[in-house]
Amino acid sequence: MADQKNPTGGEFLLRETAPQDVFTPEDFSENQRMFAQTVEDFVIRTIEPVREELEYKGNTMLGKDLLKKAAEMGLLMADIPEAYGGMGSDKATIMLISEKMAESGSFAVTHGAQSGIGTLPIVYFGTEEQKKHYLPRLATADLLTCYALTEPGSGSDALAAATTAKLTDDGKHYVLNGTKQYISNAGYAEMVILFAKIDGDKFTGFIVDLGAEGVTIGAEEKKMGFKGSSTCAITLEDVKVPVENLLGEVGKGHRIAFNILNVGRFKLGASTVGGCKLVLKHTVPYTKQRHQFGQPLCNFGLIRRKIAEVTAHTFVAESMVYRTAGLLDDAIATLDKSAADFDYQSIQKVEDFSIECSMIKVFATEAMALAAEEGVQMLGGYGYCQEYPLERYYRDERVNRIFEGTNEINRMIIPGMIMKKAMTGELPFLQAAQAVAQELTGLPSFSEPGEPEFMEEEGKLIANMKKVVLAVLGLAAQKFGQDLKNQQEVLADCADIIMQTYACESGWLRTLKKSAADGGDSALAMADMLTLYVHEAMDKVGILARNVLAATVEGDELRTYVAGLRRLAKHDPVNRAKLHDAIAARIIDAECYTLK
Amino acid sequence: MKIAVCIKQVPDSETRIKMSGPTTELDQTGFTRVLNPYDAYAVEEAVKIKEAGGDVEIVAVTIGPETVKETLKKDCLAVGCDRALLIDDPALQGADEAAIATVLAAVLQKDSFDLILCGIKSIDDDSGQVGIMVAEKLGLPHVSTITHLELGDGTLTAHREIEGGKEIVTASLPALLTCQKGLNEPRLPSLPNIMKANMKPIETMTCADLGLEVPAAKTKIKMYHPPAARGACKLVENDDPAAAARELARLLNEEAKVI
Ligand SMILES: Cc1cc2nc3c(=O)[nH]c(=O)nc-3n(C[C@H](O)[C@H](O)[C@H](O)COP(=O)(O)OP(=O)(O)OC[C@H]3O[C@@H](n4cnc5c(N)ncnc54)[C@H](O)[C@@H]3O)c2cc1C
Repeated sequence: MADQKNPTGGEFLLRETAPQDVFTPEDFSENQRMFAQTVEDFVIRTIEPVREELEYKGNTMLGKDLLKKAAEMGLLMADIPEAYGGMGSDKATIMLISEKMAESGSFAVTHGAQSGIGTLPIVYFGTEEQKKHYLPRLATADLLTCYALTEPGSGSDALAAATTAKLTDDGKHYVLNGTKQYISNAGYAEMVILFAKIDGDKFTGFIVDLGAEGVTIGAEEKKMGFKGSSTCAITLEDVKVPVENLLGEVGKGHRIAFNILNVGRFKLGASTVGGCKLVLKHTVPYTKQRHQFGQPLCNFGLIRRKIAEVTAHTFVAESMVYRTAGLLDDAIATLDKSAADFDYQSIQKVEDFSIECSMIKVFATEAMALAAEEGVQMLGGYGYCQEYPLERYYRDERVNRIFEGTNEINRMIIPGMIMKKAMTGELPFLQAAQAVAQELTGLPSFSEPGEPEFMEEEGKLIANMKKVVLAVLGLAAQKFGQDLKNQQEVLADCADIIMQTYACESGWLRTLKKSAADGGDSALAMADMLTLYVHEAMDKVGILARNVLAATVEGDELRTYVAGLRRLAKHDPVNRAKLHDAIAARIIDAECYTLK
Repeated sequence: MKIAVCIKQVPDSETRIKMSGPTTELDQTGFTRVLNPYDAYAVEEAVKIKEAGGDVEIVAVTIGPETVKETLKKDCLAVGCDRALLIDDPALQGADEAAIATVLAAVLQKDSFDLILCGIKSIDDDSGQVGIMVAEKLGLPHVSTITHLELGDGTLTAHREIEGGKEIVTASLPALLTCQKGLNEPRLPSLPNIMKANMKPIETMTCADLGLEVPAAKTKIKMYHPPAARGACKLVENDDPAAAARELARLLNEEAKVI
């Protein structure tokens, strides 16, 4: 197990974290806040004037010019090391840029394809020559790139790709054949990071020039949303790729593919947090202006509940996203920055947190789904019309749960990775699970009730959630053994319990950190949201855990476990209506997401 | 060539000012602060002159509290100013235009600037006096409301907006100009330039450091009044346009009492 200061991925389940050790949005530096403001200004200045053309006329080719404009502002530089014309920014900064980029709508996808998935494989896996050759031009948008993993026959099961690569007799080229599908920016990209199987079995990454003979770009897909982002198929017919363009190692393409997905996930988490905030910005003022039954909509309890639920989910998602940013940055900070393989080592640090990356992807994209759903509803008929952006958010949001690994696939990763770490002994999960099992099936102990401290009750519930995770996943692992990986419903329910635990704890730690820094009163808004959220989450966790138990054991054993679970999940109900009212009141006053 | 740009940090134009009744002081807690938009034209013009070539130094000058440094950094230094001077003196709180102009003139006098650029006015106080007063105190020629500028050898030609047309003015350098919308398109800072701005100096001083007695304000704000709450909108509904017009005229006369 890692030392106290440097937690490893998934370890939050097995340890207590001190509030001062988590990174929160309250910790942003002046530079980070200025970057955020600059991205907001970029969107107003550059995207807003072409909004109609981009989003409603679907002019995907605008992306090309917009990328050049973004490059002038340095918006493609954050992920690229300084030595290659970038800024080598930390993950918190990168996530903040993604969050603010959300308002650029379709361009957010375009920007992500160029500066993220289309660039990072070279940053992390490229040779020195490849980095020097490509990265400076990618930073300035003098070279436009994209990333092609998905194929008609292989989406979630990306390693089942059918695209092949064959070394020529002179050993100078690989000849590639196959089709890639749904490739963002393919309409105008000049190069692509592409995966193919050498000799039909060694899955490998390549840098392919899209101007090469034998490359055909398909027609633009007619999509439900993000209509201004280019999405096309790429077909390769006997395309000759110089051997120097092989990326990483032969047969190790999966390392590139999975790690790049990981980074894509935490960025998507951040950008959907940005999306949630946009929903509030574009609905709350409307609920104040629109009158029905002689009152503004925002006076109605059911509208206030929607505002409060969206806000609380946004707060929790935001807390998870930036806590994870801090975990990644702290882990990367332990590396020697001057080491030749620093970039490669840092992606391995990110990989260690794939559990957290999957959790924020699923949680934040589903928070955004809730926000878009309730946002449309709050606007009534206008929510359904293009005059307001909610109609667009509702369509655009949908794909977030499909790309960067579907939410199903990500749910499988969460408990899957924990079990993997448990089996290799990296996380002492099974030992901890055993202890909890004993507690659960043993006699209950009674503690003295006292006057609870600030957020103490919620802290106890979160500690109990961790015990629930250990109990149910531990039991499932014990009962199903090797077959656990086929028990998808059990795994998905476990994933949800784990995710809710991380969500609650991230918000809780942030609230404690804020109140420790600026006094309890400064954290009242956070405390209201967290109280609301934790109690709801505990109810969900209780149901999910019962389902896992029922799918795992039966008879007396089931009854004993359920009784133990009941003790862990027990909590007095809170007055939700009152909390909704208090949370909504602040947002209605500010007319946007606020923590004041 | 040495150019000074006088800037001011102001509340964002979208700031919602909360006040329930008349007050002597505004509650500024929720304010987001930005560079006065007219000053952005002044900054941009200075940067364009520098980019056109030659040995040009641009100094951003401002009066305000510590928090102004953010604006100096992001909107001045990160877009091309070389350094900044900040007069941060609590005694200047409540200073009026005349007092501000006195302090600015004192700072500007310490150096020999060939050109001083200001915005025509700040969007919070909206008085449009400071730049011109500074010119007066320094005994410099000034051209206000400029929308175009060309520099010659020791001279300048500026276009200024006048009712229904434009005036073309020439003046000798050094001079002070106040900048109007239309002069240029201010750029945004790029992320790497924000980083580089960390290295550029911001020199902070008080009136005492300038050897200046804190100038007394000649005017004082007595009261801020919130605008009267807007009443509900009344819709005159009548299928007969003539009858609707009659009813509208009646309402304007009898209820609104405007005609
Ligand atoms: C707008 C857009 C842009 C995209 N951009 C890119 C890009 O730039 N580059 C790129 O390479 N790809 C891109 N994609 C592709 C995207 O990553 C895939 O669509 C995604 O991975 C899902 O694959 P699929 O569409 O083949 O769905 P499938 O894999 O066929 O999945 C269909 C359904 O089955 C479920 N499912 C699949 N396997 C399992 C399982 N083992 N257990 C349980 N459920 C399962 C899925 O969760 C899903 O609900 C993009 C897609 C879209 C829509």
